[in-house]
Amino acid sequence: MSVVASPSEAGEAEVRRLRTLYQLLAGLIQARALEDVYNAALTSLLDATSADRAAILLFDDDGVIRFKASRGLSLEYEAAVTGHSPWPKGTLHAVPIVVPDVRLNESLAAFRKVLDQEGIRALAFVPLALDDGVFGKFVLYFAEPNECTTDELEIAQAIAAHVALATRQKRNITERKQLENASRHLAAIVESSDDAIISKDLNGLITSWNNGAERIFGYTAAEVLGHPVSILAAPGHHNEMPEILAQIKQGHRVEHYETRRRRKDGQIIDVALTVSPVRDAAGQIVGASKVARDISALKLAEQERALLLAREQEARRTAELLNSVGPRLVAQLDLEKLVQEVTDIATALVGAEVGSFLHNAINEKGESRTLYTLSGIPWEAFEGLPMPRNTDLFASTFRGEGEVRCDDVTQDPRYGKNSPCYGLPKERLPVRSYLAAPVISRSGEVLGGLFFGHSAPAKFTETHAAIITGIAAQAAIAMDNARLFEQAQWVQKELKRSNEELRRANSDLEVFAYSASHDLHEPLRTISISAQIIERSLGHQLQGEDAIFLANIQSASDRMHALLEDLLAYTKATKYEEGAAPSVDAGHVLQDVLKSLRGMIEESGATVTAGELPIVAMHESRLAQLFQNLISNAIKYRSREVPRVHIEADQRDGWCIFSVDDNGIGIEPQFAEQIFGLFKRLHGRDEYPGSGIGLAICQRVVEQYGGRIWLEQSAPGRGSTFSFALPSRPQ
Amino acid sequence: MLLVEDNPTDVFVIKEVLEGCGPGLDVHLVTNGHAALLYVQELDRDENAPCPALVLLDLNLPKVTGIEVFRALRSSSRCSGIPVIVVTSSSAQTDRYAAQQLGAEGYFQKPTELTAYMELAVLIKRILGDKEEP
Repeated sequence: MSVVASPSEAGEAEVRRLRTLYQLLAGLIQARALEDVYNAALTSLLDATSADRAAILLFDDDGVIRFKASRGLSLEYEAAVTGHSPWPKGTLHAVPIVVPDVRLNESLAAFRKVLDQEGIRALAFVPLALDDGVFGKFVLYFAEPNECTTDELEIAQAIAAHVALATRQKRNITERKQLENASRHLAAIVESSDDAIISKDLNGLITSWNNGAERIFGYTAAEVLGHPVSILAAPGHHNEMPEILAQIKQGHRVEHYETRRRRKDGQIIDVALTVSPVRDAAGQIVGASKVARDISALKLAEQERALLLAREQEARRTAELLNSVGPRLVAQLDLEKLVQEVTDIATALVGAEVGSFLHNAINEKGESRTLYTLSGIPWEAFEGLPMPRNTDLFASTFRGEGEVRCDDVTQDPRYGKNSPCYGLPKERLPVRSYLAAPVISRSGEVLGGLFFGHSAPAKFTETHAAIITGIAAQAAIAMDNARLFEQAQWVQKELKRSNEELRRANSDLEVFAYSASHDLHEPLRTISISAQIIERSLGHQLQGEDAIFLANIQSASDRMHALLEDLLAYTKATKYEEGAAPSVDAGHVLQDVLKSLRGMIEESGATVTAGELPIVAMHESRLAQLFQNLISNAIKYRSREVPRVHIEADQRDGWCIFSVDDNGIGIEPQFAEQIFGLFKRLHGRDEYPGSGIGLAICQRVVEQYGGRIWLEQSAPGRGSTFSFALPSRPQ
Repeated sequence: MLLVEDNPTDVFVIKEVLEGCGPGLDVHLVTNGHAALLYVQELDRDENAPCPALVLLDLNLPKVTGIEVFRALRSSSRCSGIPVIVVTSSSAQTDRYAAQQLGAEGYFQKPTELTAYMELAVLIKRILGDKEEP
């Protein structure tokens, strides 16, 4: 454009203003974006006016006026004055407002400090408005108080008018672009969704079909557009779609509706639907939008989870059952009842048709028989059928080799031709599912085997096998206990019986001893008395040897009498003492014995000493007998010295060893054994009295208590030491 | 006097003892328990038959034991109060006790010494003496 030059200043100023406007227009035309518009505006404003700084503010949709562009303003200032506008949005016929001095303007009092900080002394507000009123403003800032000239205000208004138009236009464009972007974005979302997004009109015809729908249902958009949505219906679900449409027409949403649909290839899939009404600008329902999600995988996972849960519950129930089984079994001490219970419980737990427990039983005679219990089949069905034998099928179980589980024994080559139909009568089907486990006692002995069968194949799972192994273990313990109990009872009975026998034997012995003694004594008495009668009548007439022989009769019968007395004493002394041996203080017993031997001790002048004697397990009378015999022997068989007897005791290797030491005549070593014989004496009657049963009694007594007696050491003329050992009582 | 004794040697000696107790002592001998029972029965039947003044009773008798004879004696109608001396070789506590229960006047254990046998005379004299002095 060419402009005619004017010599006047006013003309120059006019030219300058026109140039500014042309530049502005050019800038506006070239502007691509709102920013460009703002830029051009600000440039023009600063060019055309004496303002130091300038800004453009526009009302946003929320009604707040905000800075869109500025020159020379700090962010703090902008933040502080945002929202301030002399005119509300939409004001018609607004005119510029000048504040020549901000310090003098009351309405800006609130901003005085901020304005000061920013170095602003004067302001000019220029409205940006179109037919619908004010939608923004320019603000001109002056560092010094300033009254704007009319020209400045005019040019500012002119700039404002152009900028208003340009802004509106650009805004529209921007809006449209934004709408377009949004629309494209939405389309992209729909397209990229994994879910099927389908829209249909009120007649149920498909109006849109995304990639997700193609993937899920198999149809392309071209194949379905315009077709009724009922092509997707699955058998049995045909009523759904008209119902859904009815809901939609009433304006209701259908949310998370799980159902089934049919793919193009005929496959039925599980889907979750959400269907919403689609409204036009007027709010009328024009169709429906459906989002369908393929939940087949989800359903599968749910099924699997339910299955796992069921299995877990079953396992827990089984474990509880097993736990309760244990105490029940252990409480049952009757062996036969126990094995029947085991069979019944186990058969029920694994769902077998027939269950059997084969086990060995040993009767009182010690004979072994194989017994078996049955569950699930009545006994009558077994009459006349052979017992299960040690065939291939059962062999490994009887050997205790671990459990056997077979889904179909008739098919399994390992088990030969022997179909285990031992348990099932002909009318029934043969056993096909088979499960067996050995019952092994804690000692390793195979007590028996649990066997289960079912006519259907693959009835027994690993879980069942595990259950049976568990029961077998518990059954083994329970059986061990029951057997132990049986044995204990048997032992008790035996003990009682043998005690009875012992008591009877003892009383028999007593009766025998007394009666034998009496019966043997009688004739002796008669002999003795008769000899005395003869002696009385004819004694003075007998000569020489005849008198001696008569005397012999008397003395022999006396000796016999003494022997009988000793024999009776021996029998009494060695009678088995009933009851458990009590704990007695050997020291006390010794003192009592010494008291009873006082006569003998005083007469011989003997000294009897003793070390510390322990507590022993022996009946008091028997221990007294021991001491009495040994000590009286020690004193009786004395040498020329005053007899000295010493008793010691020593604990060694679980034995309590007593020793009775004397300084008597001693014994030759070759007779060390002989002296313990019954009636065995090493000296004549005239030398030392006694019948030779003392040591025999000692030996019998000591041995009855599990001990031993022996001649520890002796030498003729140097005394003897007799020792006896008793088992130590456990402390 | 009734003597119930099966051993001839003892009979010989006891008779000697009785002779030493005084003249005119009539002794009736019975050598087994059964015969003793019959004698007691006879006494009960015949009122005129005199009861013995003393019974010397052995315990180990054939056929019927001395204790049984003793019981029969004690339940006799005429002779239940007769003094009885048990003369036996038995030292059994049961025999002593039974004799005591049946009210024996004495329990003399037969000795092996002849001289000791004479002690029986002391016992007999005492009992007969007691009887004579009411």
